[in-house]
Amino acid sequence: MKKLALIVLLLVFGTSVAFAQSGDAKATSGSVYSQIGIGYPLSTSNSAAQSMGLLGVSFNETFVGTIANPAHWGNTVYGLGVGEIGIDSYSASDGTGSVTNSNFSVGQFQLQLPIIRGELGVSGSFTPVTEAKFRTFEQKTLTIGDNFQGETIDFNLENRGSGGLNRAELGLGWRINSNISVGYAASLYFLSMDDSYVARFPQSPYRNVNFNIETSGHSFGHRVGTFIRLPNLLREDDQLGIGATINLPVELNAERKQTGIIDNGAVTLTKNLQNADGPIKLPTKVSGGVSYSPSNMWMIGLEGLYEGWSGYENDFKPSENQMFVDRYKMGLGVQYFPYVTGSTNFLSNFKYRAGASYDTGHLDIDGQRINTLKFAFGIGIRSPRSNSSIDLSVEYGIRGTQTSNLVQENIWGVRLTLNLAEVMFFRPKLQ
Amino acid sequence: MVGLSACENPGSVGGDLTDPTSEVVQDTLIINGLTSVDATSYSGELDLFSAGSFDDPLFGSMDVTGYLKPNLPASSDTLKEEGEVLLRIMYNSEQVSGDTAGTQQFDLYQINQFWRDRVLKVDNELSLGQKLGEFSVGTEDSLMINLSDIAPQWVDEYRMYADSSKQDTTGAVDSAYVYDAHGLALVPQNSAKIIPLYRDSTRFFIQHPEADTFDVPLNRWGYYLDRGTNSSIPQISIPLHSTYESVLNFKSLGIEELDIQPPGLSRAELVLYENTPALEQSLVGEPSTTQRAKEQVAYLHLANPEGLPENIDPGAPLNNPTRLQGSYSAENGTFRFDVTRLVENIIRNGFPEDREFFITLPNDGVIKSTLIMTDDDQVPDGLKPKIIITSLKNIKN
Repeated sequence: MKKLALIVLLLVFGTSVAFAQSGDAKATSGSVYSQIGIGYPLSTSNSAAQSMGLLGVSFNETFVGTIANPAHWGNTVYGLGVGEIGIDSYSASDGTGSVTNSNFSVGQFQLQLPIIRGELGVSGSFTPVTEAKFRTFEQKTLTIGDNFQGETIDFNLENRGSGGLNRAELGLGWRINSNISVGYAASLYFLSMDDSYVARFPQSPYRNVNFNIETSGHSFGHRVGTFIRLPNLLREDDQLGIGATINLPVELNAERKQTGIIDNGAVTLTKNLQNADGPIKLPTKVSGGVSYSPSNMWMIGLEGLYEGWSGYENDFKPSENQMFVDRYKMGLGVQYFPYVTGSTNFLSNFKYRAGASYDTGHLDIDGQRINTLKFAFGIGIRSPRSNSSIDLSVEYGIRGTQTSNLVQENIWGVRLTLNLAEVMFFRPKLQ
Repeated sequence: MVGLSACENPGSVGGDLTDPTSEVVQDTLIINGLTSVDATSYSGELDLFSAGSFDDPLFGSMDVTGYLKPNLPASSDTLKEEGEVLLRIMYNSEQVSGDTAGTQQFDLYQINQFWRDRVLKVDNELSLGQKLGEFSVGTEDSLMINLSDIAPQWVDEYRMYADSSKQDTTGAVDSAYVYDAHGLALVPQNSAKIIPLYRDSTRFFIQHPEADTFDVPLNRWGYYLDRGTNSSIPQISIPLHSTYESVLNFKSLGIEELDIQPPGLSRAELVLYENTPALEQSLVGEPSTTQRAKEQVAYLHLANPEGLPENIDPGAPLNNPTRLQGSYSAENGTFRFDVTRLVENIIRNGFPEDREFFITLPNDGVIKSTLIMTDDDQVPDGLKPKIIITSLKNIKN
């Protein structure tokens, strides 16, 4: 239990530090498309699944926690913990220039525990659902003055966004029998976004000016999932996995206010906005897929998701609602576990994963869909003394287009997930 | 997702993916209700004091009598029987109003009543006694007037106070000098120019062939202005006098009409336009060497109108009014005030009760006047007094 407490403490501390640092003015740059709506949707799958371009709804590992499908929690045998960090680089370019942003982040963390070993499990997790981290910067000029004494002043206008939608979730998974599992999770969604605007005037006597739109909201959400396991389907020791989840739509009770700082940050003033309260409607999300393992060494998976973003409504940004379209994503991946052969070869000690995904995106701007094509590769490093492991994934993707004066982003991402299991973690002795 | 980010080479990429939310805008508000208020102020104990006469075609004739009274010599100095008393006049030649090349003639009179320069107002005329002598001021900016030659009686009286004061240990003589000796008046005799005398450089000198020369500073100084009624102020303008005979008054900046938050306020500038054509044309028939004293600054006061002129006094104004200095631009004939902080305070704390705005020229003893365009319908909008506000706005709300 001491180790469990230590791990939880480290995860919470790491998250807190990251939260604090995210308030830094330089800590808010990611995808430029995250300025639209309530941020860009994030993958909620763990590094192992992301290494294959998959979601993780149709497969799971005994010693790796997952939040992809609540039904997986019914198969929990050992206490599991997951913590994730990542770094992404976005090289964005349009017809006029380019910009590179780097973004270090602490992602999801999860505790998954068995109640009845291998039959009933519980999961608690914290997961970022959308991310709004962007910075736009424009040099401008403006002629100010009267008929007799006008002057052209140069200034720059910076818009920074930070925050997004997060989810705290608690759920149960039940393995009904050796073939079918189901799960349910209740969650609290909470939105916290800052959209800051600063105009800086190099020339005296013009003062730098600012305002910040703070948007917050919360609501409850529900998620159900099922997982069907069909062993020995085509051959002995093979397995077909079929999984599906549904996230029910969420309507956030959101509010916002405008703030601004003066006197070098010493005083914050708040202004009530005319349209200060309103709903933000998030769409239904359906994900599903199949995986096939001819043996315990190989697995191939094909998964996809649908999100009905065309039904997205945001009273605070009504002009953006028309940009949202239904989102589809498909992924195909494969994993290879050579260590199960007992080979002593060094390279046989790792888990190998690779895959690709195509995401139509949830945005359609000026007739152009902001789609994302990603390729991923990952390795899993097993602990020599326990069943814990570290999954490392590297991915490269292309998002958007330069057509219609839009932005194309080349995305490099490295993600690391710490999977804690068994003796290093919590193992129910009564089972 | 939470964490750290860093940004290299920030640019405008992605800046126009959505409709802009913020914009830097300029709002221009006409100042309505600009009027003139008579708050005739004080003329004594200022840095300078004026004397002379100028028949201004625009602002009317001005006869200015200068008043001055010397201190008694220091205890270490002795005004001997053969000693001569001279008055050195030094004035600011750049701030002369009238014909700078002309000769201004003065009669020297003895003042015949007790006066205190601290409470002497511009329109307070002192009772004068007998004429003591006369002198004239030409193009030079300083001159010595031998009072022993032109006003020997006054010198004898002054010597008596000086001698008695050295021998008196009770203070009675000094007191008598304060209350019974009243000084001199410089009364203009022709209408050539008004000269602003430096109060610290205008001094009395005592010369003696067998002793060191010493000087005595002024004890009191001030002036009286008699302005004629023959002014011809254009209807679209209001005169602004450094004497506060006419100060500008308005009640509101009109910023209540704007939706501006203090953090979004970059700059607020109050602009007043001088009626430069009228000022220049009025001197067309005068000698080419004729000018008006010109001021380079003006003050904006936010003060209680019940306490004028003390509330807008340049020395120690009452009731802690707000005072901002504006600068004059000769290039375009405007007075411009940076009122950013003032506007911010009004937005944050509301407009203070019982306060109004007043605009003055500095009352430093130099008589200066100008003409300011009003918000009259006949004035083009471009020349009406206005406030120009530059701010960052949330244009979606």
